[in-house]
Amino acid sequence: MEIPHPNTEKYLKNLLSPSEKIAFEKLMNEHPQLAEDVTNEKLALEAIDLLIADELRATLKNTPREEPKLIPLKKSNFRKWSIAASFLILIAAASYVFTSQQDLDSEQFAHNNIVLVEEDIATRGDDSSLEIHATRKEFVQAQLLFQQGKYQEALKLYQSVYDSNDLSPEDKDIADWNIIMCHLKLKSVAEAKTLLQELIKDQNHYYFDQSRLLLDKL
Amino acid sequence: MKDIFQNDSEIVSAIKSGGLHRNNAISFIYKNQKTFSRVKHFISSWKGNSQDAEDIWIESILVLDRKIRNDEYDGGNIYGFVFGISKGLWRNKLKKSNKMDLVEEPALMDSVDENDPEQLFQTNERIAVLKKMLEELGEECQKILNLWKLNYKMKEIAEMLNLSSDNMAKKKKHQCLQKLKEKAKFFKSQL
Repeated sequence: MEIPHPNTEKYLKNLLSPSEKIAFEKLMNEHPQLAEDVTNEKLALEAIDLLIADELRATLKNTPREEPKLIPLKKSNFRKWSIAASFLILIAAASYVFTSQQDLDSEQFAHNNIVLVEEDIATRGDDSSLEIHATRKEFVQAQLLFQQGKYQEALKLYQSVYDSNDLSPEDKDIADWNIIMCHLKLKSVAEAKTLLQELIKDQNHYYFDQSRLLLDKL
Repeated sequence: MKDIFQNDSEIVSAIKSGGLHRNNAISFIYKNQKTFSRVKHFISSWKGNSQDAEDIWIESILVLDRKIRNDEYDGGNIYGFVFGISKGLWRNKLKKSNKMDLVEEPALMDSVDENDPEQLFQTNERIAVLKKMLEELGEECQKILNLWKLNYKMKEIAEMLNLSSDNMAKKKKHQCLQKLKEKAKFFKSQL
């Protein structure tokens, strides 16, 4: 097997400087074997280019061409915008009616505003630290009872865990809020109001803003 | 990875870089609606149809790709170049199919660039010989040499072809190129 000259590839790719090119051509004249090797390599590269062209041709034939886009007439744009605006007005009106009804129905409000934490517990289900935090388990249990409509039992459990002082500050805020939701479900609106007034004394409470709004509506 | 190119030099360097850079640059040229419309208009003015325009457009891009990769492209406007090649190739095709007496169509002759289409593309006989060389080379060697010619790195070639290392890819590339040169030595008398 012939050993290719190091400059053969550069010569065929036109990468030699003019002086290097002259020197290499002189060398080819003096060594017919080298000249033949260069000719063979040139033909080999031509064959590879054919391969590349075939592959590219196939790719381009399967490449979708983007046809020029037609710009819709202004008239039809106006119609689309009108329909969209009508939908927005309808949604806004429905939202207003729904919110007004919610304000009047404290039970429904409580149902919609119970703070869910079971997802949090589920993601930490394998955590052995949960064994230690039995209080939090009870806290979640209270929420399950709420969801099952057992408001009295839920309230009892919420108050129990609240009094244990084992809850984290975040869970304590949630418990405050959920206790109020239980009272609303049990139609103890006066009790709920008292608790809300107590809650808004703490401006750093997580449910400070919601509590103020709820108080205004009750 | 760049898929929008601001100027011709960016396109040229992307094609020279090879790999995905080249693919994106070629796709960018291929989707140039303005130049394609010019080619289409030109070809439909000279007895061609939409499919002819599409075929010529692709062949022109292949010529551009080859010229850039082989350092034979001497700058200038890429789209002007591709349009010029398209005209030359279409002229050649008409000439071969005897659809038109070129001497009687000075307008078409005027539009042809200095590039001789015969020089741009190989004859069918030459293509047949080159394809025979490739067939005898085998599929693996074809893949290696294809990737090597497109400037893929040896490490990338090794990964793409499940070779143990970049050194193995280098060794295989050398063996395959030598094998193809041997084929060229044998077949060149038929050209």
